[in-house]
Amino acid sequence: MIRALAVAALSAAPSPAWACTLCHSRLADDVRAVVFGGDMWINLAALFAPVPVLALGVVLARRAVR
Amino acid sequence: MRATRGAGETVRPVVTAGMMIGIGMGGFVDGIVFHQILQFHNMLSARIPTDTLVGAKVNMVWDGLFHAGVWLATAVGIAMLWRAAKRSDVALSTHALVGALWLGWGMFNVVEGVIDHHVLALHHVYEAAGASWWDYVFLASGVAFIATGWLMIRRESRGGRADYMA
Repeated sequence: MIRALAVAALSAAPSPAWACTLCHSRLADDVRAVVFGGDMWINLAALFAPVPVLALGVVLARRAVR
Repeated sequence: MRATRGAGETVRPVVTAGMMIGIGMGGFVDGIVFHQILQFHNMLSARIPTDTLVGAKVNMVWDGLFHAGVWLATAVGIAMLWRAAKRSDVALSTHALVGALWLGWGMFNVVEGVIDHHVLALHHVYEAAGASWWDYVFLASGVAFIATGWLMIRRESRGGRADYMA
């Protein structure tokens, strides 16, 4: 079973599917260029900016309950 | 079933777990309904337009990271709930849990709405309209969910109801 899955995974990996961001196509190259561009860290920080605020909210609400 | 909360019992762990699950599931509602089904907006749609295939796929990557984050919050909440269920000093109150789910969802809507829609302008609820009344309805829903959840939790926290299991 595991061997069959491994063979299936290996045979599927090199196919240049349009939908696959990690595959080797012009589209994939363009997507990677934007995702890993100069503002990647800014975007990542922005994405997770709500996390500390939400964590603080959970802590404060927890303290208010007995 | 037990009629009243026992002495020394607390709903605090249930509420904490419920808030985490509520935050996670609130995030899933946003992601599934607004990002995927209605396609009103995507994670960075105000910065990276989604009207090209590359733009749509880039936003899909960031949507995936967002979903990974809310999945993690949900998983942490489930683990916390499981630990709470095994403690003898925790009242497993349905009312407190449901209230905490509403509270968590509301917190998600308010915090995500203020930071992502208004402060950072990563996206807006209805991207085609930009900053619009949709954003304020989203915020208002969060406030309503918080109020609903908090009232349910307070009612339970102050004396208990007859709806939790031994």
